[in-house]
Amino acid sequence: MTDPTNTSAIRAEGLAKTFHDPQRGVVEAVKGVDLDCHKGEIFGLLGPNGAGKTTTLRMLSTILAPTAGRALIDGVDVAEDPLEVRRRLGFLSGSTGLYPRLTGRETLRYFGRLHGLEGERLEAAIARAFDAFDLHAFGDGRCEALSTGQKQRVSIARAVLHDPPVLILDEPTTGLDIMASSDMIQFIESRREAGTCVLFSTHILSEAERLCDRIGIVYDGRMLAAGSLDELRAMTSKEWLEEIFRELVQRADAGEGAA
Amino acid sequence: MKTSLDVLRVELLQLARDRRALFSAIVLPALLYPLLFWGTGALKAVGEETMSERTVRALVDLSSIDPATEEAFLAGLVDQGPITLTEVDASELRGDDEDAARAVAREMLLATSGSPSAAADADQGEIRGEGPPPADEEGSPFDVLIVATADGHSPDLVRTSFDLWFDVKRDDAREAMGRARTALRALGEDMAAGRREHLLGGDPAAGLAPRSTDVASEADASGARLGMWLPFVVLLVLISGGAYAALAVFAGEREAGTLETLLVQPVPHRSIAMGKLLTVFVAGCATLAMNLGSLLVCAASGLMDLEGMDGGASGIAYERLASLVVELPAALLLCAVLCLVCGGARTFREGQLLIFPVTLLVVIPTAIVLRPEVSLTALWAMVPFSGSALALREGLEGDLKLPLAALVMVSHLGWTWLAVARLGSVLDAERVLGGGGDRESEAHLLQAGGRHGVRWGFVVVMSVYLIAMSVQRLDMDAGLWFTFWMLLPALALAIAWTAPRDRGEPRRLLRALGLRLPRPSHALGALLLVPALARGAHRLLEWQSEVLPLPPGAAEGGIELEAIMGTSGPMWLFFFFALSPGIFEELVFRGALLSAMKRDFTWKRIVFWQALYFALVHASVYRLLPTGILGALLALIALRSRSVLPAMILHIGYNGLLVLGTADHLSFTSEPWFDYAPWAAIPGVALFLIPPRQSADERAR
Repeated sequence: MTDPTNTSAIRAEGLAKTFHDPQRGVVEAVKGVDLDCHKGEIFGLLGPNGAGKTTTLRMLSTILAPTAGRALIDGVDVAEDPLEVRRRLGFLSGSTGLYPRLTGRETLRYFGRLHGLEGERLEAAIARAFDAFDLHAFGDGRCEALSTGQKQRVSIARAVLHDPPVLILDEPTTGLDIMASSDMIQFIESRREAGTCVLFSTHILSEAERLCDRIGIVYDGRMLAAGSLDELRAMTSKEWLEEIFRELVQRADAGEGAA
Repeated sequence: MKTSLDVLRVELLQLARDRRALFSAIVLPALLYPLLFWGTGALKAVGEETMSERTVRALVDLSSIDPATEEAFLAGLVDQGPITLTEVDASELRGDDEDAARAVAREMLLATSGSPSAAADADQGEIRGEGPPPADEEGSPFDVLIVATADGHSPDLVRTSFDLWFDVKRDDAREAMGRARTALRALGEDMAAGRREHLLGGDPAAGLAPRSTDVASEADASGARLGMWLPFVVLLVLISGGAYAALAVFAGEREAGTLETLLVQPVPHRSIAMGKLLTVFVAGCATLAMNLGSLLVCAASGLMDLEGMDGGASGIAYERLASLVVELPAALLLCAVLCLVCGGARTFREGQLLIFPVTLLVVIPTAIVLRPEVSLTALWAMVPFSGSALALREGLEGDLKLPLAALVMVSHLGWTWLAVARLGSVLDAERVLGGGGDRESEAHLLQAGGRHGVRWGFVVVMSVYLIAMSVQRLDMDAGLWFTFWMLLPALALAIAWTAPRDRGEPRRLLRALGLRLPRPSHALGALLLVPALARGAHRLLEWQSEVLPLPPGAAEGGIELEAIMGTSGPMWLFFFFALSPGIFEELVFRGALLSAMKRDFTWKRIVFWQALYFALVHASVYRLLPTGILGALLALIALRSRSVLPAMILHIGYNGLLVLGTADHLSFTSEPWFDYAPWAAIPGVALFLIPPRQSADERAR
């Protein structure tokens, strides 16, 4: 199932998702997205609300089954072996909550066990996470009593406890204050050095500009363009990411209008 | 299994740290029952003691009765407690004008206008001639006015009537009234016995003297009494304990945002769901253990006097409570149903709304324990919740046979297995989480139409229970008019009016009520199905009467219905019990509710809800099966014909045949044609199976 010759950490081809919405009829949330992210690369999905970013990330993390197309995580097909994909994946979303009445340590222990970590391996992983994310001061307190930033650190520690080669983050800075947001950005940057492939979605342009090796512009369920900032500049003849985004969206709207 | 245990451990830890769960499951039952029983017992004792020590004031006019009766009555009255008696002339009260008498009596009680010619010593019962006593704190000097009137002259034939006048709003007045009635009851019994003995040498009406002696042991008798209500308590307590846990581990997790994280872990969703089911089961059982333990302690310590739980040697044999073991698979089944229901809820609040149908689903089959003549058989053993309830009752009575107990447990485990097989889908991420992160893209998950149907179905059932049945109890005739021609149409309109629509879609009331012209073949098909359905129902009821005999008197239902209606015409019977329900029940169920449900639900799910609600709304364990089957069949017909009208035709015809066929002088169930009638169903079914012709729009698409 795993293809050793494939160096892509995340690869998607023609990924599509259609819902039946009683309010709106058939909704094509994602209309054939292609994606290729490599190890040690930070790839940002940039797009407005409702563009299909979350649906794309949920398909890649096996939460949703694609209607069409194919996706591989670390060489493993998401449809064929979702459990193996989840083993190689760390997933975190902005709306992720923590069990309020568990302590940070209990949370890590629970999810570590679900990932198959046991005994000394599990305790060692928790100890590493406590050191890496500086959880010592509050890690043994119940999550309901933690600040937003502290909760976010526990959540990150939970997502990377099993040291996954691929990290998928869905709008990870949404709802965070400045300090917590800054901590998150630092964490994402640190994963690049660790050789992890990080795919994250955002609608904050500055975040994408600062962090991403490559950016994919998602709009109305389609990937309008993908590349480094320089490549996107060359593609649109615009300097700033905001202008690039507007240009691509206008082109897409015009194309659809002509059709 | 390891994953399920991990989930169980964490969920239990969460619940154990949840003060609300802990309080309702552990603290409340541990304290509530002792406090409740001790408190009510103490209050009752104090109340009785206080009232019996109070001196009440009575005005009496006993001038027209013989001295012996007067003396006996006063002696009986004084025995009841301290009392002050004041003689009064109450001849004005003996007139025919009741209103005038009432006014005079009120005046005498409040203004003491009676002649205080004598007053009685409270302890001696002698009337003495003093002024009226001072007014009490409530401003009224007298509590009761007792006027005796004798009719007849012979000592053995005189009939004495006592009129008691009092003001029910006053505590002392109620107390005085109670004492007077007690004294009169005793006096009446003594007088009757004396006269029978004196005149006849005994009671001539006593042709036989029945004397029954229960040879059952104390334990058996207690077990039989306990078996009538313990099965209900067990399931209801399980629901109260398990429902909170089920809501917390499914809807609560979704609201807290932890479910998405859980679903992306490398473990099968079914294992996670199993862990959650075990959590609900443990929480429910813990609540049950605390409640039963607390009840037993109260019973054993004499704090309460509950039927069958007297405690000690004269009460339930505690070892028989071991038969609660047979309830464990049923408890697991109940928890699985709770998980399925609460797992489908998007929010805690929505889940709470869905608990009621579960409660009905469990309580109605359990009601079989109230029928002492129904015993546990192999067939009953396999009926969910009925089998376990009967097994528990027979276990408490000491009559449970082990093979049947085993069959109950195995069959309930089988039902549980079926429910557990569906549990994985409860955590279907597409259903639980939706497609996108924003509410707009999750709209498909709202299943707005289907949920609208389920919610309103619940409202319809409750409205019929609480409103329609109350009105029918007051006046059956008016109640039926109200139910069919006011309540049900109003509900149908409300459901259709509030049905969710697509954005920009105009409100189409007729379509929302399912009112569109059907194909003539479907209308004819429905008509042809009527005799077969009536025949099938007849057979089903015959079979059911062997398994679950109707209570005495119910078999003559048709005649009773006629009597209730106060008419003798079959037209009225047809109008009230066939035409009216056929139109308006269909308008609500197969019209408004089904139209809402079919926007989102699969046909199987629609048929399930239709059968469930239609069975529940009839509120009878005897009609549960036939009405459930009828509801499912009518739903299938409405779905196939895309109109409520064929279902109306079938319902009216079916009810008409059954109602008219039940009345003796109209009975045709023994006619030969009734045996051959089902053959008409073959062309009827065929007419429904003919593929529908495509409309121009459909062909164009």
